[in-house]
Amino acid sequence: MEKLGINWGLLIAQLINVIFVVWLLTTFLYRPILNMLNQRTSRIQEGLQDAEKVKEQLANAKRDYDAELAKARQEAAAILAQAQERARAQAAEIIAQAHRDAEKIRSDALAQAEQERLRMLDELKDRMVELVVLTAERVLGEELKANHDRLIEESLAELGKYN
Amino acid sequence: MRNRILTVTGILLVLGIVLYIIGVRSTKLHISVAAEPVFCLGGVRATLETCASGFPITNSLITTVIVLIIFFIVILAGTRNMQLIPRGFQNTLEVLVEAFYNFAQGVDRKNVAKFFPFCASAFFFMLVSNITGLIPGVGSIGLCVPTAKEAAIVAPIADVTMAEEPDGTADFFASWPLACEKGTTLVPILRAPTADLNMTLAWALASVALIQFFGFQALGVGYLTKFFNFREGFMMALVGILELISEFVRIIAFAFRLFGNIFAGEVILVVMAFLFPYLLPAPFYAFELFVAFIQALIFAVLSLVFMSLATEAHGGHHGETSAH
Repeated sequence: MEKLGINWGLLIAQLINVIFVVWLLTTFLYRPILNMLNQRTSRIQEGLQDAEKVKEQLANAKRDYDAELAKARQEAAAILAQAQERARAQAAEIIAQAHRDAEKIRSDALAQAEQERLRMLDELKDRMVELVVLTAERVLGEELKANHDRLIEESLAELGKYN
Repeated sequence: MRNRILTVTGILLVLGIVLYIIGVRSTKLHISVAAEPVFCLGGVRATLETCASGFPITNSLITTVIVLIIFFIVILAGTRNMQLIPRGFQNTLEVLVEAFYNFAQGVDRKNVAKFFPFCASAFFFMLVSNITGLIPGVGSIGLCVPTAKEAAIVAPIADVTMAEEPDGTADFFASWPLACEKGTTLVPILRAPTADLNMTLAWALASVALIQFFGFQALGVGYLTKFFNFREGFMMALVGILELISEFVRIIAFAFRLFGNIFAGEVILVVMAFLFPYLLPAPFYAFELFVAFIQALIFAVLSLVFMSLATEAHGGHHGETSAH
């Protein structure tokens, strides 16, 4: 044994060294590194899960947004249609009113003209009566006078002036 | 690129041959199976390899301590204020540990947390230890110790020394400063820890002890039925006894496989350097780097597999064999 170099003291010393190496590496190398690796694994897993969640949320949000947008668009279209409808109705109303007003104005004007005409006729009639009476008076008063022709002509001229 | 490699190799080869012819080479060859004590703590040296009294501080023990210090520094540099987002050196250590952890997981997923610390430590320690033997200066820088002639004659297996030239022409470097004088032999201050049987035997003992421990832990007293199995006939009893013997053989196998490979590698390098020191050792050097890695891996993986086997119930194994 001695020729091979086995020395019990050395052997025991090296055994202690072996135990020391195993202890040293386990405590200060493997444990921290494996812990760190596990930690990193869990962290990455967490990160991936979070990413998945965020993606899902994003999809949800997009869906909501799209739905909201569609709804808003629909509403806007409805409002527009309503407004158009209302405007059309209003326009029709206004036009009808205008027609009515025009009609009324025309009829008023006609009525007024008629009235005027009637009034004028009345007045003319009155005047004519007056003139006829006057003329008749004059004619009758001047019967005896010579120039009744001239008088008639005069009254006729006067009549023409009034008419 | 290839041209450049050929050119450099050619020039070096020519230079080497020239140097060899003019005699610039060491003619001393000293190989010791045992790790030599650099000094004897509280005692005196008897021969090159032994202390007459006191505790021998061998060169491989010194290197072991140096390796431990290296580990200490590396761990301190790599794992002090670890970050969740790894950076630089922490990354390197994590890759190494994780790679081995994944490998161990592949061998035994269930018990990896129990087996991993020892096996990984064995791997990393042996890898570094094996490689220290290849560092220039390890094995070539040392103290000059008077050669005890008779010891070399008595134990030619354990100590091969070819210090003497046939007709007394001195070594080329004999006149150089710090060179060992005639009649003394260089005792290197450093030697690969795994090129010392004490170290490898210590690891082997620890490994086999842990294998038995895990076996008992997993199966309780039932673990013993692997070895003392008298209920299933004579053949199974014999197999059990053989298993028991193989457990003890494992200690020797573990210790000598590692020691043999690393020590043989060093011997090859020394002999190659002795025969023709220029360029010839280079391919062997590369090969020894590979061996350093492979032997560390083999020790670790065998420990892992044996531990895994020890924790497996005998019944399961038996059922598998009876199915044939």
